[in-house]
Amino acid sequence: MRSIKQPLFIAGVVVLCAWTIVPIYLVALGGLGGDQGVYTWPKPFWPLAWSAGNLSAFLTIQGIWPAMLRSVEVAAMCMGFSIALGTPAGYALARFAFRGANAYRLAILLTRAFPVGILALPLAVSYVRLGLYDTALGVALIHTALALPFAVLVTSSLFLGIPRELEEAARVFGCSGLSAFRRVVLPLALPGVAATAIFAFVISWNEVFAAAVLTVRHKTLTAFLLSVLSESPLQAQFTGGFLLIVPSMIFIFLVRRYLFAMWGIASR
Amino acid sequence: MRHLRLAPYLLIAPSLAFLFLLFFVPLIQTIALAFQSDAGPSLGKFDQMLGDLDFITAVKNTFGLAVVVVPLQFALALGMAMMLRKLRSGRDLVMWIWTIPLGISDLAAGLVWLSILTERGYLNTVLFHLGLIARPESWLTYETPAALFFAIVIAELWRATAIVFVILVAGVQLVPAEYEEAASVFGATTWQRFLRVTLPLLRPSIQTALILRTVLAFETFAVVLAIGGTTFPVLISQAFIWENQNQDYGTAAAYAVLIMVITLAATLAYLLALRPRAGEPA
Amino acid sequence: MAEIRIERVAKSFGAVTVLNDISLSVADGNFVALLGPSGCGKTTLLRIIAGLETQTDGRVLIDERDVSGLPPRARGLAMVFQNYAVFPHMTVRQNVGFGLAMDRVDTERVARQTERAARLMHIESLLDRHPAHLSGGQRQRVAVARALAVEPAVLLMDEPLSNLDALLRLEMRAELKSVLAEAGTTTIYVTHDQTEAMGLADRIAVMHQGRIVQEAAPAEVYRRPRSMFVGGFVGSPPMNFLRLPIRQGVVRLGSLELRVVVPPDTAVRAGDTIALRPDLAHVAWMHPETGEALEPS
Repeated sequence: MRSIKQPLFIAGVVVLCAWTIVPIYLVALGGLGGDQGVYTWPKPFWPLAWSAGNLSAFLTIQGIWPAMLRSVEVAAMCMGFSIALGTPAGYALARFAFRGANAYRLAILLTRAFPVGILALPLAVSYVRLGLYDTALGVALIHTALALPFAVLVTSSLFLGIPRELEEAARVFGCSGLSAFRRVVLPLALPGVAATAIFAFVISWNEVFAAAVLTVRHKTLTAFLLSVLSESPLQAQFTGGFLLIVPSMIFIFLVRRYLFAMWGIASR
Repeated sequence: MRHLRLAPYLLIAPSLAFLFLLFFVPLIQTIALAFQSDAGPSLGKFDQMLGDLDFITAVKNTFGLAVVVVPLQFALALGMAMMLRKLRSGRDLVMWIWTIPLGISDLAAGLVWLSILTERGYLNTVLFHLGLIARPESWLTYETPAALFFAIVIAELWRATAIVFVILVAGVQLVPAEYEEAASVFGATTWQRFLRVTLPLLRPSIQTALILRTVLAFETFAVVLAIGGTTFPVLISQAFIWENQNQDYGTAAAYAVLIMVITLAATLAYLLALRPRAGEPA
Repeated sequence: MAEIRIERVAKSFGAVTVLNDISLSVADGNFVALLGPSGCGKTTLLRIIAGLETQTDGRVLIDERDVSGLPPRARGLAMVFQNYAVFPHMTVRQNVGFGLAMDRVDTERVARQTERAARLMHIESLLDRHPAHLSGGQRQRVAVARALAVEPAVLLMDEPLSNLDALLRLEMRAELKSVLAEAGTTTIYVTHDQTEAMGLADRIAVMHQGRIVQEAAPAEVYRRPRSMFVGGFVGSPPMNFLRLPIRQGVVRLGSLELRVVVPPDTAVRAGDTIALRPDLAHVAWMHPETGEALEPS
């Protein structure tokens, strides 16, 4: 029995890997294959007409490129806000035993039991009044609400992993609280904080509902692609899909070491 | 030394204020919007929602999807998590490949599978090469609702299993190897070990993953729109349509409230059903 | 070099009282050990002296200066932590020189004193390494070197040797003793190991359940323990406690009769316990009639 288990196991792993990667390859083909590629049939499984010039002209005319830039803008803001708001809170939860700590942690966890994107609906109304409608900032704010709980929980766990004694030693040998944090805790927590930041970026980059509700003329990539789903040529959709995926793939690769730690932490 | 007492509160204040303004307030506002009308609070929007032609279909589709996709994903993710444990060489690579979908939005996933399943897509190409069909078949039309459903299930399975996978793997890492070793020593087969030792010890992770995944399941709509267009309504796509096309925030909010109630109920159900039994660690 | 005075310090965490009316004076240049079992409050007391915890009552004075409200960095002390707290992202050199760098000492002096402290602790060859590549014992030396480098007025040590293996512990004890004796730094040393306290300290403060039950030179703590707790805690093998009736100055142990010589200023009561140190007791053969010892004692 053992002898067929091993190859079966390997086969299973390979199949699952292929199942994950091949569709991405195919959408890349579809996106980069040029106008011709989309309508040929049967489809070739390797790139036939590959032209970068075509691609770049295509990007600007179809409006994908500006949408991409806007997505970057929104995601960068989300990343910045999440870290700026979440890291101090994570530190507080890790280092201080204060009344209300548990209530706060519970509140943070509760937000994840809600479909946050839906909250964009009333926000659309408020935003019009506040002048935030159809702005990158407006979308970034709701995205931050999405990513913030995650940032708080993960940074909290990060700081817990850094022995308190290190900060105490720094304070005995001449640092103030803030200086001890800067010189001792931050350098050690930096990789984890960076990974959290990247993950916040990815969360914002991928979000669809809120982005679609809150933008009209200045759409992010996801909102844009959604709006042109039925109208634009298939080629545009495939290119857009591919462009949506690639940055995320790169980012996930960068943080792969921290993925499990982060998700494990965030779900406890 | 006194200011040290205030320090934690000062540190959490910004995040608290932010979440209050951008989570709690909109939450109340959503509920308010749903009950709003010219003559004070009423159920008018809910009536409109219930009277929506697509309402019943949307409800059926949403639940149908959730009920099919979530268990499938759990089975798949559990299997993948167990397989990952057994892997010795190439672990890092496999781990990265299997978590790639984490970075893929449901819209992208929809587009990916659209390219495969569309009339002139890759699936038809493969079937053609295999001699199973003579000319392109359209799978994604209103004439074949079952195929449409199936397509969406595949796309969601492809995309969101990674989320469950990561949570389970993180949870599995927390299970000390000794428990399973003890089980083997005392005669348990692999399947018995899995059922009686690993699975129960994974309970907290499973609970978290279930809650997260279910909430997400009721939230995903871009994949549905990408693959099925308006042929396959789900609750949240209806909310979007009411907001976007009909400019009716009230009815959209009614849908939103319905979704929130459902996910809340599901969360409570999971918390109750999977709560630690007396004596078990939380 | 400084003198420390702890006046009526108390500490409670909510309803739990950890320290109760602690008063202690440490003379300039003295090495005082805070000795006691886990949970007696010795580490808490040390942390209060360091400024890492705030006392609920009482005050701490260093050289007549009330430091009670001051943060650690303003108290002029150095500390060696139980788990060393050596900064993992800095080299040994940066670790040892840390206190000096924080004091904004000029770089030449930082280098000089870092080298000197490293030499004292025999870690000159490790200066450019990172703590991750050091053994526990080496990291411990780095922690001590860091404390010595700032030439502190007061040195606090929180069970610095407890995480070392037995042989290393003995070596380090000897080294510490010679290094600290030469420096003449006022030192407060927390430990639960009574042989360590006996070997290193000028004076021992034995603590039990949040109080100092005896504070004296090691020999006195050993020979004249103030309470059964002190007697039982200090000394290895432990002191024997025998509850035996004393009649007319004699104690019967089975068929054996022991003459009890009671110190002149002590009253012996019927239910008293006799405490006997095994190393101080010896058996002597006495002539049954004359009472003379038959063998040299």
